[in-house]
Amino acid sequence: MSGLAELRREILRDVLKCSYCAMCEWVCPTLDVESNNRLYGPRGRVNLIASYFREGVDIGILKESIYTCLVCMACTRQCPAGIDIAEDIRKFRLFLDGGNGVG
Amino acid sequence: MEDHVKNLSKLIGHDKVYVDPATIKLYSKNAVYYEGNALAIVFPESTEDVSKIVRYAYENDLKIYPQGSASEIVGSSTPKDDGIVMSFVRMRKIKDVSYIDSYVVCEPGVRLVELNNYLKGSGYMFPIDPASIKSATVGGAINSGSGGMMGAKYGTMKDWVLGLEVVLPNEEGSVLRLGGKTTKNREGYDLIRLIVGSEGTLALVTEAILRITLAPEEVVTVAGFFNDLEDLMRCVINIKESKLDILIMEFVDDVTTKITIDTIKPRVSGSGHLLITSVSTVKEAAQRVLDKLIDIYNRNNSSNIVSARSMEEAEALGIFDIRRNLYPATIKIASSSLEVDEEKPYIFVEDISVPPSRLVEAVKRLRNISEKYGFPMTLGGHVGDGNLHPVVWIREGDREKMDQFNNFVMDIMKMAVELDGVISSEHGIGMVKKDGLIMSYRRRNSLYALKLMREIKRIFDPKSILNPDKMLPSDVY
Ligand SMILES: Cc1cc2nc3c(=O)[nH]c(=O)nc-3n(C[C@H](O)[C@H](O)[C@H](O)COP(=O)(O)OP(=O)(O)OC[C@H]3O[C@@H](n4cnc5c(N)ncnc54)[C@H](O)[C@@H]3O)c2cc1C
Ligand code: SF4
Ligand code: SF4
Repeated sequence: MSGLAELRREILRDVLKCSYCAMCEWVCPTLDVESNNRLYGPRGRVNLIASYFREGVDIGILKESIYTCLVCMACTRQCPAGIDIAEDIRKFRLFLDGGNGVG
Repeated sequence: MEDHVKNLSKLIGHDKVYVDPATIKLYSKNAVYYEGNALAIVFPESTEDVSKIVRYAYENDLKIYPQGSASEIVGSSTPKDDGIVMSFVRMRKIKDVSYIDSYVVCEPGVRLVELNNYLKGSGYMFPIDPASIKSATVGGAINSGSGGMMGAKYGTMKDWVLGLEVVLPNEEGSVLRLGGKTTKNREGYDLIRLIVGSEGTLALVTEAILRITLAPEEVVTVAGFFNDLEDLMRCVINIKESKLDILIMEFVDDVTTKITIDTIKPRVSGSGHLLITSVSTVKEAAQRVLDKLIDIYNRNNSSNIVSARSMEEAEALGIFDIRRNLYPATIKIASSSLEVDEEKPYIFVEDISVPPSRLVEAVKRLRNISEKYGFPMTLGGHVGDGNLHPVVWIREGDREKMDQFNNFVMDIMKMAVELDGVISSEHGIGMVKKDGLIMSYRRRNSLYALKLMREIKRIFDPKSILNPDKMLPSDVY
């Protein structure tokens, strides 16, 4: 499997565990700043990534959501599904970058 | 549709109305698998905004789907494409608190965790602590009638709402103030209790006056394992008879205990059914109460007993690890059971109650049902009040299992009703349990109760614009 395909598999496997419980949102610093729209919190980011891989999403909005993340990792500790949220976002940026530095 | 968006934007402001597909998708799901669709998502910032939106919706036959964090698990918060989601996340002010009068006034979007963080240091707390405390909002918890681990002592949401400000789904978008800042209130019918647990079908909650209480001075906790369920139940009964002030009484069955221990390696370990009991007390009496509790566990053949003299010690020892990690462990097992790489696991948490004296029978029958359908199941619950949460998981692609799932749930609900219990304790009816509601009232020869509920809904919401098709079955009576 190519580096990019492997990266996609790794990220998707992890984000699909999301049960939509919202327990990650209360600690996210960007959610409050960005209008309180779920798009700008961990639950939104994780699910947009899943949507991108599975059915496609507006790339402009996706980028806005993904690149406003501070990768501060506050959300990761909250997730009962054990999703490595901040790391997945970081990896996904790498993926969007064409996987530079991967594989 | 474009007109609606334009008009709503004009009414309340462009920055409060979203129509991009990504936002709509994110606000059309709940914490199981329900996925709807919506025309727009609106974010009111005040009661006035809410009232304006309602007036517009009433005039234009637009449905409104109220939403907090959408952490509900019955389909009570998901929209359809005939309306708009009204998200309360921007109404998040804590407006007033009085320790003398024991109340706090807050907006519906405040999360319960934020409420308790606000009260921290005062010695007071808001005692409804669902496992989803970090996501559950005041508006969502009120409308779900939520409960939590401390339910054995503090009951559920219905016991803690003193007053409500609501907007009615009528022509004027009328604002009503119900109840007030006193514990006692006998001003006519209790409309507050009618709205608590109404799943967003009667009125939009824009402000709540909630009762707060002093946190217990000291809490002692004992956890122990039982090979025999009857021993565990006798232990529960003995604890209840001993007149201790029970705060928490949680149960995890033997199969689930093993799964959880294997999956998350908790700090407390053992084999058999797990019973955790916390008792509220004062510092001076803590050791005496703890000794009494340990003695009761011992007398009922419990093994691997772990005890703590304070909540801090209990946390340090990890006494609650197994109970708290039931959900994470289930997600982990569910995820690892996937056969195809890009599939999603769905987790379903059931929510029946039976009178505590019938718990042994309920657990045995639940296991038979799980075997009959071939659904692996984890099982825990609030044994103090007889509320059980069997949890099962299904691969999203497994159509056959998804089809069987409704029958599986119906069997569980029938069993609960046969044991004089209820089909829903704290999660609600939403879209998934409407058939169960009919079954439960039919067995009691009381289907007319559902007609009464329909009539109540009609009086509050004459055009049925508020969360239509939720909770109440439309056709039976
Ligand atoms: C992992 C997990 C654990 C859970 N544990 C528990 C538990 O221990 N105990 C428990 O009781 N529940 C539990 N739940 C269920 C759920 O979290 C609670 O019911 C919670 O209170 C819902 O709050 P919310 O803000 O997410 O509301 P939402 O899910 O957004 O909405 C719930 C209902 O309230 C309505 N609503 C929301 N705000 C308003 C408003 N302002 N006005 C009118 N209607 C409104 C919605 O339309 C909907 O009908 C759990 C859920 C998950 C995912
Ligand atoms: S890592 Fe990103 S999504 Fe997570 S809390 Fe920080 S800013 Fe929010
Ligand atoms: S805490 Fe984890 S499972 Fe829950 S919504 Fe956030 S990412 Fe999803």
